[in-house]
Amino acid sequence: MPTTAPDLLDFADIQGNVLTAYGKQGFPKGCFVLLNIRDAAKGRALIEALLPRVTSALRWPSAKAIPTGAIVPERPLVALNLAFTFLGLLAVRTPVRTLRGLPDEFIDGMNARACILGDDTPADALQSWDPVWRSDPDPKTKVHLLITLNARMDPTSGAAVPQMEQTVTWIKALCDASGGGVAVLRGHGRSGADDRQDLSAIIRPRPDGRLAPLPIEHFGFTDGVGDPVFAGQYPAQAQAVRVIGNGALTGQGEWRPLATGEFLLGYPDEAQEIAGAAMPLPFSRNGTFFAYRKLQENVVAFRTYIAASTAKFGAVFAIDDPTAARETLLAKISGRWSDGVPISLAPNFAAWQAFDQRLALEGDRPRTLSNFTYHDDPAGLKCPVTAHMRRANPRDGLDPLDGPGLKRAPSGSVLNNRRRILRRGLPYGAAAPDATSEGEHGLVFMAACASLTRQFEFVQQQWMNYGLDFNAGNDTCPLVGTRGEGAKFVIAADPAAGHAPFILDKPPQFVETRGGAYFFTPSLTALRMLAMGVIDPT
Amino acid sequence: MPTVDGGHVFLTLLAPVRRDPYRRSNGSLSSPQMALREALAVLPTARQSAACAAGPCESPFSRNTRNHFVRMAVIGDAAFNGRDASNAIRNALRGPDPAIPLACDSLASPYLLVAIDFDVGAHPSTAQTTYLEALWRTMQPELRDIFQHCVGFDAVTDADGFCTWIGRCQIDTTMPFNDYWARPPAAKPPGNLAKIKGLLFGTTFPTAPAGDLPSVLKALYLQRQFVPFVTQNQGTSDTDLYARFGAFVAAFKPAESSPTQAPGELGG
Repeated sequence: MPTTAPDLLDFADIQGNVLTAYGKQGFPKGCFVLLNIRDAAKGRALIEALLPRVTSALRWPSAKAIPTGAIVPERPLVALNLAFTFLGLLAVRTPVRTLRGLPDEFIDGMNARACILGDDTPADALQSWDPVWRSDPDPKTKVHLLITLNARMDPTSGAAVPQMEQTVTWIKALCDASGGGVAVLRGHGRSGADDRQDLSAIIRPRPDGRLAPLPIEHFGFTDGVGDPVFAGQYPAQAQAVRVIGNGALTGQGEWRPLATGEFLLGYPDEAQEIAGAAMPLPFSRNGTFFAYRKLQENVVAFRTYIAASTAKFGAVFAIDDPTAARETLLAKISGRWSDGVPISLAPNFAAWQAFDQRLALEGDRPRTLSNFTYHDDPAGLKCPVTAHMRRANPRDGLDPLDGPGLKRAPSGSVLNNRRRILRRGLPYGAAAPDATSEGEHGLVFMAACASLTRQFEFVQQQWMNYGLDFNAGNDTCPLVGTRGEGAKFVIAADPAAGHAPFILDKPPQFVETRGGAYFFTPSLTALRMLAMGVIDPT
Repeated sequence: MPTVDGGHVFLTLLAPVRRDPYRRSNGSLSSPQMALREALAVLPTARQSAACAAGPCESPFSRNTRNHFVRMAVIGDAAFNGRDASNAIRNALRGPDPAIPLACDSLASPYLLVAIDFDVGAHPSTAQTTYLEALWRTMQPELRDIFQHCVGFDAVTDADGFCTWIGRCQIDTTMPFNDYWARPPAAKPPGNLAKIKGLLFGTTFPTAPAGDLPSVLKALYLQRQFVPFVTQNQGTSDTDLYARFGAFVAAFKPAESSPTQAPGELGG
């Protein structure tokens, strides 16, 4: 096992949203605010004011029983984190010698990478972005600084704790006090009138009447089950448990933590290199990049299409029960059953039911739901090779040395280890059964990685919007892929089952990008440098 | 080993930085490494530029008259230089498998590097102790701001404890520099024992003439005064020049310690 970092990372120097999916940590409500910095000194002063409130990755006590260390931070009511676009770093006068060390795709920004990301399909897709994210030439409309607030919830009302609104008011007051030096940007939502992006996990009442957040998105899939585990993230004992199914898979079938440098700058990565970064190294180290994507979920199109396809699928796959047919179709699309059970572990409806019954009695559900490989399913008979989850994280599914007749030892997930991303984010809007196409309902998806182009963009371009690595030609992801002419999704069938494969024909575009940007999430050290305006790149 | 050379002590420290979070006065928690870098970032430097000279702050190390320079840097971790170089064809045939990561070293904690060059003074045997005592006496708050983030400093309560703690962090200096010797000092031909010792441990120089800080400051002071004197007296007759030089000597007293310039002041 490689030693790529000290036993544990310097959590107090890393922003909390890098290591923590707040939604899973009891922060189901969110509010994201975008700022434009027009006066560098005022911008630095704002960072200075925000810095004491920035939530670090220091671990607070939780039900997950991960040791916290001797000094225990107080669990905040509202987690606050900061991230900069390239133009934002420029706006606070970061030295040119530091800026030039930043990667091309970050400097380009997400909008300029539309052709790589598939955001130019259909041709006018960028025009449907929320106004705040569009490429407006006016410098006063440019996104510079992202402030993310993730809040705990009042289980009685389902609303965020009042401290979140107080924090928003405080941020606006800071901007007002800057005398126009820093401004909150408007332009969220279809009308473009909103000055914030509100987010919320999907909330449902519990049997006791209190409200509880669910780990699902608007299509109904359980989201965020797995997340990469990398060296230094957990104490040894917790790591040994969490690495299974979430780390890198060796050729011997053992799980090891991924290299820290895949997710944080300044550490050796899976290529056994410390990648070049913006200098000085303390400016980059413990920071990372985020791809922010506002993804509108076309629930009406999705529900209509699935309803229309269920009977045809059931007929071909010989599933008589409509519910079983629908659930199976969805699981084949996603790679997981709607409650998160991998279809690789429970390949049909009856197996899923039985699996859940067993899991209710015994076992660690989150750990169990991550512990599987594709070694025994190269043809995708259980989990289609182009299912959403298998595309996003093929595990050992792309191993060129795994197969009958090959003399060399398998290499595990080696072709996948440099394509991993940490997934953060929360749903926005609501998608009731009577939702319309005009409604706001989707997911703000945030992918954290050390290299946006090698990790996030590769996954988006090659695995979500293309199929060749899976021997599926131009097929795109059945869930989030863009749709071209002749779009389809092939659900393989076991010849022994006696029925044909099923081809999902011309699925409409279920997910549309409504905006986004690339952000640098600095360490606390780098935030201090930015606030002081003292960054010595020599 | 030449920690003491040319009449100077070249004090080198590697102090391990704490890893437990640092609680600030406002109750928030910070990385000790971050707080240390912050403390160093706000530590005033010598008045070595127009911007520094214009401000009200002065390096606390200028509160003593033995300090030539101090440099501090945080070493976050050992940089990993990548996999060991090897022949790709041989690897393909015999390994190692490039898909299996090699182990890479990492420091157990960050380190604060401190390099100080100060005068030995009149009593070489107690040079380090008296210097550190002077620091403790003249800049204890600043020392605490910095070293509180290092392992073991929380037990330091007085000058004796400070000297002991510094001793625990000290490493031998193996590459001092002697910039006050224009050319190597003449020395008696060494005996065989001295030659062997020199080969093994290096040769040290005696104290350079006028190489102590007060002498250097005086030299700098005279230099600053002498340049305008020369400029203003270009073309002056010998008689007048003689008289004016006499006045210059009387005013600036080259052979005496005063007047001079303060430590930490480099001047134009």
